[in-house]
Amino acid sequence: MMALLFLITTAGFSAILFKQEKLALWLYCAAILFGSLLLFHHIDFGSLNISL
Amino acid sequence: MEVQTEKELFDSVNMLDIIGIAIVLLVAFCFQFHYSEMPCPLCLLQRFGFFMMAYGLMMNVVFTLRARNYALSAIAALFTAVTSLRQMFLHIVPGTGGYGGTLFGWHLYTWCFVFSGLFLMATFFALLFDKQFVKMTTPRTDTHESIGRLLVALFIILLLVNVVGSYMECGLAYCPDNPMHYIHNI
Repeated sequence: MMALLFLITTAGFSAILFKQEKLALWLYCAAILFGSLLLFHHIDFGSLNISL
Repeated sequence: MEVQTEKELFDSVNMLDIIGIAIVLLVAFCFQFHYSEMPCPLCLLQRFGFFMMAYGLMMNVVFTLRARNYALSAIAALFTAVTSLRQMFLHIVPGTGGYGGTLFGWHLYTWCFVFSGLFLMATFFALLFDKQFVKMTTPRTDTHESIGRLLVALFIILLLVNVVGSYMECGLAYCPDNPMHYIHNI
């Protein structure tokens, strides 16, 4: 999963290199969204002994 | 300050920021490959956050200076701060130790939290100077553009090393919380 996240980020940086601004923005959104999902998985809310 | 001067100043500041982020990432690589420390999933997510912090700045350098690009970097800095704070909380109870080695007495995730906080403040400070966003009819100098493209190429190389490294560590599944060895060897 993490390799896939870095691959999406690489694609985003390549879009910047080849001056594709819109594509770069879409890939930024995809990477941040995917990164956030992985973060929520790894935070593991179930293991936290807190009452919200 | 003149519009042109402010634009050139912030172009240079953005490039220096990007070089600073590249140094931070190279330190992380040094810990991984020289000291043979396996990066945990939260560590990899903090690295990802640093790459995304450079993303907005890179768009500023390669395309044009825009408030939107600073916002992209600020969102990434918040992401990095949350990730490193979570890792600090994992080891907040006295006696639970920490993950990985230390640099000047602090663990890398603590440094990461400090850097992302400072970066966030610097980004908001940069937004105070709005003459940098004025559209100019004269094109940018070739030197700026070439340096910008060179920096993007450097980041692509760093990212590809990360793609290979994280594939060797976790494959295509979720990374283990406490990785002990690489599951794929090249």
